[in-house]
Amino acid sequence: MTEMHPAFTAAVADLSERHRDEVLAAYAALEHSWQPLHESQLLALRDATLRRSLQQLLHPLGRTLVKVGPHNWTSGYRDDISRELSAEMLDSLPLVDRAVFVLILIHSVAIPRSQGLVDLDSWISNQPTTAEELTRYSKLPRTAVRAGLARLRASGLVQLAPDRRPNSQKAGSSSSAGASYLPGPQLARLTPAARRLLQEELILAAGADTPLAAAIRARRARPSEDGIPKPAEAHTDVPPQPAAEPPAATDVSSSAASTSTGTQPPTRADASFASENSVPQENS
Amino acid sequence: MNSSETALWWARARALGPAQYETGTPAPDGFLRLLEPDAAQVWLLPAHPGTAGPWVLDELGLNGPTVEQPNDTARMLAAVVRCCWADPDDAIWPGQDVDWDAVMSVYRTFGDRDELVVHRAATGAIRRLHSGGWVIWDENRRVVRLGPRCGTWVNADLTVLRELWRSLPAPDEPDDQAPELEEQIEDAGETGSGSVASRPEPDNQAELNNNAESVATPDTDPRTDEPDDVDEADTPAEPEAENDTEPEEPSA
Amino acid sequence: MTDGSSTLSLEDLAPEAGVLRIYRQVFAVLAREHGAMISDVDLLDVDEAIMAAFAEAGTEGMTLETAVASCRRFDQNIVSRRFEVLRGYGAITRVVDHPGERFHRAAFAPYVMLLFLRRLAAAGGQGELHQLLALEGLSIRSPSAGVEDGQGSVNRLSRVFRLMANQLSSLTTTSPVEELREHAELLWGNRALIRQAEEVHSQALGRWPELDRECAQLRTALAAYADASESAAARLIEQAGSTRALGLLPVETWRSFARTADAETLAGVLKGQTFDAVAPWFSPQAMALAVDNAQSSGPVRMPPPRPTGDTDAPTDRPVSADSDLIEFTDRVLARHRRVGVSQLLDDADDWMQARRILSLMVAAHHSPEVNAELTWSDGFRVDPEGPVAWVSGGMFGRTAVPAGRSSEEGSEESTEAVQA
Repeated sequence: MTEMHPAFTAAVADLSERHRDEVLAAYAALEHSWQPLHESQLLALRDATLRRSLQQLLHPLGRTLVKVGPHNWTSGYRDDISRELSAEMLDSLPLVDRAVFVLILIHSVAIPRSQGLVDLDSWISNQPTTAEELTRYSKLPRTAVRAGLARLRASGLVQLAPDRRPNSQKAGSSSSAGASYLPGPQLARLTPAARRLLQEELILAAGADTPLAAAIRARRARPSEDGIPKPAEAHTDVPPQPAAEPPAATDVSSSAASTSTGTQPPTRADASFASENSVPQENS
Repeated sequence: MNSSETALWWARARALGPAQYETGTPAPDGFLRLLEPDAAQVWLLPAHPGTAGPWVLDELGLNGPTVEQPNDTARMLAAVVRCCWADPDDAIWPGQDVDWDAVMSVYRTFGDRDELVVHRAATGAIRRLHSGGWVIWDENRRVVRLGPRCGTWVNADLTVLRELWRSLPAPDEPDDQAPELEEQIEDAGETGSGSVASRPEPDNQAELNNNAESVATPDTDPRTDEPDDVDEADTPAEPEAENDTEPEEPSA
Repeated sequence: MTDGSSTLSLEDLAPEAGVLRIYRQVFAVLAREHGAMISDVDLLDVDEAIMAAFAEAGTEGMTLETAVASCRRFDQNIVSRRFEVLRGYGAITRVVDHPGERFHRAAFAPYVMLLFLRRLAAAGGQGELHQLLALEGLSIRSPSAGVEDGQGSVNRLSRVFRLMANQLSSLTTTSPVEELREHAELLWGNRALIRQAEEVHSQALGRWPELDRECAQLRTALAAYADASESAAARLIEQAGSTRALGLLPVETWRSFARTADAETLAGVLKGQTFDAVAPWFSPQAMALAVDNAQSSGPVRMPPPRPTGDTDAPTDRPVSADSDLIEFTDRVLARHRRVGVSQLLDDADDWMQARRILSLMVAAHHSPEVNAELTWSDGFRVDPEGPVAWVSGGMFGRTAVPAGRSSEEGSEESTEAVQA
């Protein structure tokens, strides 16, 4: 296992030894760190050339760079890969876990947004969902919710909200009488397309009869013009042997365009490596 | 294997965790193949190059996934390694199946604590390790073995582990129980196929937790308003299953 | 006590004195002084309190002094002034029409108006529009209704929908998307509104075929509204980013979905997503350290488990990520609320250590448990000689709102005091 996989060697072959180490370290950090990383932490994140190598390293492994806010980065599933894996992956996550997770997204993101309490365009939120909303007011069985929360926390989909009561800060866990929850660090790994898909599915589910839902359906019915794939076909139309992948540039450019403000245009460096990044596809 | 299949394999391993496949299933380069003792199934999981694995986080001062009760959990893994790695001069995988009581006999040496506290901590720890693929914990048979993630430790890691192994006390030998051979063999057959090809590990975990749930809450539940992770560290399981199981020698 | 100049023209226009009287009564709650529109919502509260006091007072009515007394949570002068305004518009009248009469009684219309105003303000008028549609439907079905009534209903509806369509279209085409977003309530329930209007339409047309011209206008207005809401929704969705469109649904929609949806429906939202499995990493070094810590700590007797069910084994001091971060933050920010990033990095011996400090700051910034934030500025410092050649300008400091952390900080201070 100390032998390097070709995917690792190919992407860093042209680099100096020092830069190769930087890229591999950044790869490990992005892939395994619990939180997004600030670009000042890693040379391979702030240097556009090395960042391109990093993206070339991630791509053949089914991964892509995801920009979180103006200077932070993490990694996520490539959109085409995510579409293929989703059904398989979600099957492995117990139904109640998925439901609890979505409830937390509603209470911590959707409702605060409707109330005008949040400004950043992000699935990361500091608006807690109380245990009561999950157990007392939902239709989910209480004991199953508790077991699900433990699993969701272990996987980073959900985290405990900071405890506001005195004397319990350092106790690690706390009694759930006042416990509340937030979307976990895994949400930062969603690509712009995945974030958008999540938003749309939530609107389709909660407001199926609204003009917004109609606009979403109309948008999906149109042939894709902006490179964002039509998610309605997520796991029905995908051929078993995925021969035709969308070019790598798709997810890179969209990830570069993402910022938490949603208004910032992609930087020049991002745009340039987007266009060059269909290369790794042909290497293997 | 073409490039998109390779990408899918890597991503799948990340999304599903270690999973078992039929022996002979092709996997991309750079994947570990950990053969089950019965050689019918194989665990496939990615092996990261030495400079790109999760261990790099420590070097960089970054945090990996948050583990609840990290110390208890790490100590439990140490106890399992001590018991399941029969000979530290040999390869660590697949190791041997070990009775839960044997693991507990090592775990108990990590501090002199109330039995109830120890038991809760141990149960929580073994479940966390199971869900992360570090151990395989058959709760019904009360048997523990090493999980596929242990196969990702590199040589340098194993050196540290050997030292740790030698510093830990040997598990108590189970003595007074008469082995019931027939049952034992049947059980062993079932463990191997606990999760079949492409059936992901989290499924098992879900079942396992659900079972625990139904066992743990038959009567008035005074813990209704307790933390969710109470379910992870339950009251001690009934010790009646002890007679059914014995530590097994590896068949090979 | 009437203000002649501002109402005279209305009087001219109004064919009947009765209509004018009601008009002025309901206008009273909108009037700040005679002839001026109300601009302060708080005055509505005062009016409401006065009307409530009249409701309590019964048939005898009440005096100004009684009104002031029963509205004592408001300023006495304001209550008196509002009383005068209401009287000026005829919403309150003397029991006997004599200047010396002190007892007054109130009309009900201003109060009804108040209720409508409040509901319009709260829900954007959608509910009222539904009610209006229901009323028009009733009046069209009424056996005594004539063709003029039908014509009136259809024309009113045409106007309402045309106004809504115009407002939406102009917001969609000319306003910034933020403004459109603020008027999202124009979109709410649009299908139900159209359905209701279509019902009125078909009833009117069935009963009075001669209204086909008016009905065609209503159809056009409805189509315009449907188109306008569709393109408004499309624009909102295009500009929605990754979560902004969520704010376009009313809170109640979210809440009722969360409370009534079954597990399958909720789980279905994740369609197309892929997440990571649980994947903690255990390094043998950390395992050995954990074992060492336990063995060196010696025997500790546990108190019996608390009934609250805290599952933590109390000797197991969580060395989780966040306690490290709290420690780090407390150390670094022991003397100052904020420190410069470059200042902190200057203390580092080498790049590796600097990197570690940086990542601790970033992690502390992200951790919900740690009261600290890292803010970056644009500039950076270059120092080829230093351990870190390249440092962005930035500050590491306590977050502005120490939510829930103050108590703990207090306790830490007290332990320090004890040690010292």
